[in-house]
Amino acid sequence: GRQKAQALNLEFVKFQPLEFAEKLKTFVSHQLGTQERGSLSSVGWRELGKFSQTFLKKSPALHFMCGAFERGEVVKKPVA
Amino acid sequence: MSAMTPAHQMFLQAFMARGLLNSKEVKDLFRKSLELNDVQVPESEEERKRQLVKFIRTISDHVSPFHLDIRKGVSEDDGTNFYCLVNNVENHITKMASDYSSSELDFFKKLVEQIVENDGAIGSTAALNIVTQDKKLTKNDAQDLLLRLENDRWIMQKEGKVSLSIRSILELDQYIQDVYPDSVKKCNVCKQICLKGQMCEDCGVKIHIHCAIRFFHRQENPRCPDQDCGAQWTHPVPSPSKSHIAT
Amino acid sequence: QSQAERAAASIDPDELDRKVHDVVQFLLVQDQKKIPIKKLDINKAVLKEHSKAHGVVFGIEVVELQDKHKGSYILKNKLEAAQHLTWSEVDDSKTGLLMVVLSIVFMSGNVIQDGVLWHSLRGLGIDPEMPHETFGDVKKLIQQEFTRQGYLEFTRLQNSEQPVSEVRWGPRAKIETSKRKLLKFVAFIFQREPDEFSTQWQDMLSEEEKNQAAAS
Ligand SMILES: [Zn+2]
Ligand SMILES: [Zn+2]
Repeated sequence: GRQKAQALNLEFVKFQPLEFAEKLKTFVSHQLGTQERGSLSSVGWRELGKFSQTFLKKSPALHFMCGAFERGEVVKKPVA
Repeated sequence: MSAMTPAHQMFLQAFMARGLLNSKEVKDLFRKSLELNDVQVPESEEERKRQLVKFIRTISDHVSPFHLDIRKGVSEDDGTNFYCLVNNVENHITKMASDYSSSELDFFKKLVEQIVENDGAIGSTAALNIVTQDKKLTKNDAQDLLLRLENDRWIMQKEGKVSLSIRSILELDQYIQDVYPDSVKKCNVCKQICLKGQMCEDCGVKIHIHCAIRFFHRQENPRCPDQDCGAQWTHPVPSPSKSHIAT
Repeated sequence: QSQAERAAASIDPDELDRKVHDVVQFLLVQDQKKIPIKKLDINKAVLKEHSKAHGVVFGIEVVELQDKHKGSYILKNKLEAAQHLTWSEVDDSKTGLLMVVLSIVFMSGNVIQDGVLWHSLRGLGIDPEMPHETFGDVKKLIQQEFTRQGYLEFTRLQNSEQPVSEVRWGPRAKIETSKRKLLKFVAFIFQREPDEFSTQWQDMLSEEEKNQAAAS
């Protein structure tokens, strides 16, 4: 009984990368209401990325311009 | 000093990720940060506003040891309010920033100079010509760089003109004042840096467009806001349209 | 009192504060390129304090990498990401590609030869030899950027005529995500239940058991 059930469950679904690619395109097409054929479009990659962010614990980085470069000399205008 | 809660941390992280948010985005983010952490959102608009100010002050207090601040500013283009997370220190650590290479930063620095010295905006061709001065970047590089700077919200490109976004103006405020003391003016009305604006032809006083609209509102015979000048204001003052009313 | 606390007590509190703030600022700046931070040349007391400050203020955890990466640090979000964060278009697209690559590696038994990986990506229009409309030099992005950031690891195989590499998850991938999350993602895309991929499900369970044992 139990052993048989386990055996059945083994390799129930096998992962096939090319099938995965097709499923990804179907998912993105569905999200965007478009048709992703052949390759994934730029908008498609972005959409997939937005969805993927939920599965990663990325921390935002700090971005700034002040202090990123040397100041250099004070620029004085010649007195007319 | 009130403690940081996960709601505060979310709000701060969203600022790190985006850098620049308009007041509507800030209000939405505030609501979302509270809701995601099961904190009651005040029902009345007034109370929400009060809580938001307190909320931002708490964050500012906590990030100030790291030389960071959340600053509020008004866009010189359309008078809308923006909030920015700004760094306000220049030291050996900030010099390690890696978002842009040193030649890209050189380009940006010269771009800032040109914009400051040309009343807040220069043509795209003039911007691309900056590269011919040092030849470290090609014009194609410069074109890509302008796009990146625009995407990162440091500059704006509109109708063939390049100007600094409110993010740059807020963060580089002290730098611009210190390095270009002869070129930069402060608005006579709001006392903030004024790059784009209207200038009195008599005394050289400068004011933002959105400040002009507020200041000259319902004046039939507008005159220079400078007490000692009072010359006729020759610039057309747009009527207060929706886009120019600060929210 | 721990050793760190004793060391902390011996430093002037203002001086300690200043050092702690410097380290937090240093880490934030170094994190811009998302490359693990090496040479954190600071004493244990400062390390402990700044880590606390980072968590309390930013909701970000400082994590030391393990094994051969010991001594390198990355910043990990303590909050559930995605709900409050919006990323740039470039960030989003790259994350999409990264997720696909991490999925393929994990689903193929945690290791895959680079040639097979490239072949698997062809169905999405990724050709390592061709400039990509979204990613530009996509080979460089996967082989260099993702690797430097610690998401992937390429190991060159010796004794093969052609240059062949094996691709695995890098240390950052193990910290920012997990097998459970990846399986959930893949299952969602296939519109299946995660445990229907029984091989990967078992792999995930045994790793979780191992981690639990190690933690207790
Ligand atoms: Zn003004
Ligand atoms: Zn005047």
